[in-house]
Amino acid sequence: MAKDISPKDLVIHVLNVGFGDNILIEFPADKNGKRSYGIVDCYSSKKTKGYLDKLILDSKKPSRLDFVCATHPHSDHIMGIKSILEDSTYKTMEFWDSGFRHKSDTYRKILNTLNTKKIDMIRVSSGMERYFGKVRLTVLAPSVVLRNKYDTYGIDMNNSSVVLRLEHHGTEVLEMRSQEYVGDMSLEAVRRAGRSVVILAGDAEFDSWAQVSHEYPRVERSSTHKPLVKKMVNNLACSVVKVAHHGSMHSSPLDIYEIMGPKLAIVSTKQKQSTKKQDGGSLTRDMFPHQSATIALEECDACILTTDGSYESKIEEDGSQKDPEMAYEGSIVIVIPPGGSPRWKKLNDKKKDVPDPPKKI
Amino acid sequence: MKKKEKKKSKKNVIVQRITIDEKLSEDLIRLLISPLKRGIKKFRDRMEYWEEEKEELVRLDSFAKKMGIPFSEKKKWKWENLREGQVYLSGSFDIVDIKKPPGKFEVNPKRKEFLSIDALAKKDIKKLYFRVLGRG
Repeated sequence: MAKDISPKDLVIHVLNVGFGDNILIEFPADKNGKRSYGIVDCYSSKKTKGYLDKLILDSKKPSRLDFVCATHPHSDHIMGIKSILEDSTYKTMEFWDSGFRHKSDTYRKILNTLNTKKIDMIRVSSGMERYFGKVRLTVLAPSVVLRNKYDTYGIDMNNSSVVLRLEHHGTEVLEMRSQEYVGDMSLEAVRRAGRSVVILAGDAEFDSWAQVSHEYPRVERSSTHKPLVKKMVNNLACSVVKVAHHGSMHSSPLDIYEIMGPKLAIVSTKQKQSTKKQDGGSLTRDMFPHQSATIALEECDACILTTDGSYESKIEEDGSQKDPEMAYEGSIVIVIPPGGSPRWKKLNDKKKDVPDPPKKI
Repeated sequence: MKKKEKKKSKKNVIVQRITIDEKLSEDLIRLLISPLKRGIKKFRDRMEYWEEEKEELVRLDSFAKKMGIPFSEKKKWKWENLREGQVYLSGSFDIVDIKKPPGKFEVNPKRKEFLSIDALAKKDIKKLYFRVLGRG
């Protein structure tokens, strides 16, 4: 049963732009009933602006974008950013950057726009926290360890990705350890702990996840008085994950998904195939998402939604589709009520369409 | 006659700035290609000289043609040596100076050149990056 989206809800829109990332965050409304917004990657400025304009009805004043974050400077994440920064309809407060300096002209033009428009650039790294009402945003990656190796040790661009964790609290006081639970190791317990958490994983790959799991460990504590009762802190537990690197074979290891325990995994993608030469023949396979990523997510019992519908429309052994009701392309909208569990909806838009934002989910 | 001239000029006046954007798999690379703006004869590796970049997916069998690598230099520029972030100039031009960023080049329809300008681009972007970071 669909419910109205409340001004108190955190809403995340993963727009279908083909092979690219384009995420819009609606933070809960302030005392005056006004929401603020954040953009995490922007491949299509046209679609982003069209969608934002439908979301923001009060178009007389410039709409405030708390931040525009480029998770990393690959073109499928930044192609539309310059146009957003230049547009005076939107007042961008900050630009968040991974610190990886790409030599493309697209990235150079973004830097130039920041310079001429006098927009502050923040080089973010693991540990940074920001608060938007009851939403706590934590930067999980890039680790400073990786950032210090960009120049000399060949850390690639994907591993420089900014990974964001958003938690929508139910309480007035933001607790430092909201992911604490007691005496239960089940998937359900992990999901209860991370029910109001969304992780946006950029294109982070193995090197990055190795650092994330090191810096945000799943920690168990046992009490000396009740040795059988354990407390656990797991900052990576989440209900929704925007899967890293379009679900490629290097996107995230199974171990990370097991720690996250996501209920919903979103892959923003347009399927592509690759052929690898091997002894005595060649191997052709789907790359985005790759089977290794979808199997790992299936192992964790996650619902997988792709923006191109390629996973959902896959044919199973019995001839049926994986998820016939979702076997189409479209943007995905997630609602997180304060302290509550997520609800989501897949819209039915092609990559160049600007869909109407849903009012109920 | 006019049509012919137009066709000819479009074919001749081509210098491209090519960036290796992402190696998507063993056999698939995404390039970013920006053509030199029309009518420019002398140019540098500065953004005002280049049109907006367009993405181009290339595979092993097509990359040399798409990147404009001269036939005689095919052995020098191998698929397996292409790395993310490499920047090249490709087309009809002469090198005037590549010691200092942003370099100096001149269109020359009689030549065919394929040149790595990594070092130029790296210094230039670093300077701009810290100017923006320092301003905040």
